[in-house]
Amino acid sequence: MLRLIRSLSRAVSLVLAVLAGLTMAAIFGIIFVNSLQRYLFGTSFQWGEKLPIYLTIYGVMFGTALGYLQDRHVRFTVITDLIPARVRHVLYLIVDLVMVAAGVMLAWSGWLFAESRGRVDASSIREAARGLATTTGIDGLAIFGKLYPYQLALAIGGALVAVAALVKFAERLLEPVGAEPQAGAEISEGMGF
Amino acid sequence: MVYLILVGSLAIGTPVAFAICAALFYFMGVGAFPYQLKLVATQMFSGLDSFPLLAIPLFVLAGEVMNESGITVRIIAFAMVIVGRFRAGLALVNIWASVIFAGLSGSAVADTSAIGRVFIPEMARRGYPLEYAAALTAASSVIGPIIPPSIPVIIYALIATGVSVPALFVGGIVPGVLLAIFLSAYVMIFSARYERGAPSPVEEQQRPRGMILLDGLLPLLMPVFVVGTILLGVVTPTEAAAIAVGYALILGVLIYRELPLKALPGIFSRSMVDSSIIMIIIAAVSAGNWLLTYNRIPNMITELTLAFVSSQWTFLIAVIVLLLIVGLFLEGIAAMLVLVPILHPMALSLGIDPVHFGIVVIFNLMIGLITPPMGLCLFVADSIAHVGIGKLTRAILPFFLVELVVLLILAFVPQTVTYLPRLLGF
Repeated sequence: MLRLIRSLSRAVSLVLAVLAGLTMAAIFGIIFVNSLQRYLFGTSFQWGEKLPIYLTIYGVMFGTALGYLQDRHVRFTVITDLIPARVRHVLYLIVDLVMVAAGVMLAWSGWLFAESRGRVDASSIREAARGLATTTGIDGLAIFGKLYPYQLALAIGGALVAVAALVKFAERLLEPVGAEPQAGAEISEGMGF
Repeated sequence: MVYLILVGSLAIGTPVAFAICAALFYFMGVGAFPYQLKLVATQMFSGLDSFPLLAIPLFVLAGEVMNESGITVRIIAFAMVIVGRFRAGLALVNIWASVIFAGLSGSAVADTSAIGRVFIPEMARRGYPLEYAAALTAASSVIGPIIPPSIPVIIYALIATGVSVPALFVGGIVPGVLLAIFLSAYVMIFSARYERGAPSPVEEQQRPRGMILLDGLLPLLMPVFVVGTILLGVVTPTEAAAIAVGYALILGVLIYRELPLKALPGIFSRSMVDSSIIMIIIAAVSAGNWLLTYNRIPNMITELTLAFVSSQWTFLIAVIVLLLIVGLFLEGIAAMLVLVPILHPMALSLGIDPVHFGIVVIFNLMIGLITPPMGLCLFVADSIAHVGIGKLTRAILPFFLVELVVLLILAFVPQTVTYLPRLLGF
């Protein structure tokens, strides 16, 4: 059973890592090309500022869910570091459940948010989306000229966090006590400010 | 009940961002109009809906690319030629390589990781105690977020009104160099004994010095270009960060040929995850700050505090003590996001220069990177040295005191921060 859950965890991590990586590459590509265009040729994409922002919000959501699976989030460990491993294990199981609940609430809140304001035009992207729909003949692409697909990021992110926390809960429940990484090991070497 | 949920979930180890969210969901769920559940997502979205904020993932990406592309090694070799010949040469190279690295990445933890991998084993090989080498690497990496470009500075400018990124960038230059000078003085006085009998690190270099200096010039052009164009107003910090990534990619892939293309997906993915960990806190704190501001709580706290504190100096001392304590338990940027919206208006009310206050706050919180139990740089240094946090904490104490002295100088001699920005017209 543990092997199955670990495989599931790896699969979810891989999907989230690919999505996070693609988002980061797109953000960099758009801003880099747009900056060069602006300073070298005096022109820029109208959507070149807003689209990377929306992509970042999606990227943050993918990264947040993956960060939870990898135990990388910033958390207080003052109390949890002092208590015995067995009690800590139980506490972290509770934390996983709190995260499932918070993820579900975030998904619900994000859905309500997108429902209330999603039909509004994303002004700087509207023309590009219409152009894309006309060029490709796929009318559905015009939806990208509305705020709906971008505001849904919070709802999708909340759902992903809930899934990640659920997988983590199952993994922690089945693995032997004391197998979870300690505070220091949780820190990503790449992270930093 | 809201505070009970917040404190309770923080205490059991819930990630900071989601502990805030949990408390907000409860409040919005049970509260009457205008409080609604959708406000949490609305405010979190607004908190991230900012082009300047995109500088964070891009600078994190720039740091990752530099680490993988051979730029760090060249910076270290360059610093070795410049300061390696002096007393306690290797310790000095460690400090001044951090200064150069600071101009490229602006991230203390990336600095500890990149420089520590090279220096901690090398310093141990040349007679320095392992814990001393790790402690010095962690302590000198605090320079990273002080010297521009700096991720904490960008975040500070976003949350504090009336202070610009370029002004804070310029304001951080002297404090960063001052910290490097004080750390250098300390190691020259107290560390030379470790290197006695060992050949000078410069003598051990295999390649001619001229070649090393020439090789280091390309990476060194990057901070000059990045910081220069931001300060001249040619590009925004976000655009400068994207250009820095592009430049590092060109160096790593095309010129040095040390960065294989197959490494890029991993670099992009790691950078996004590392940025998300901070940006989700920014989103959650934005939602929390909306609630506080809607209820005028920062104003009430300001009025209450100003009733007791009327002098700039008393206020600064109180802030330093508060942030040193908070820095022990909370990651610096998370602490900044929570406290700056409250402390910044108070500082302005007392007539403290916003750039001066900003740099003091950032410097203060970055010291928290080397203090246990939440000292991220300490953890990274220990993951390389494997000496144990206890031993490392004892070794870092003198460096902590040096940094405290520099902090007090910055706080009580405002010109150390404000002179350069004023000179350049910010």
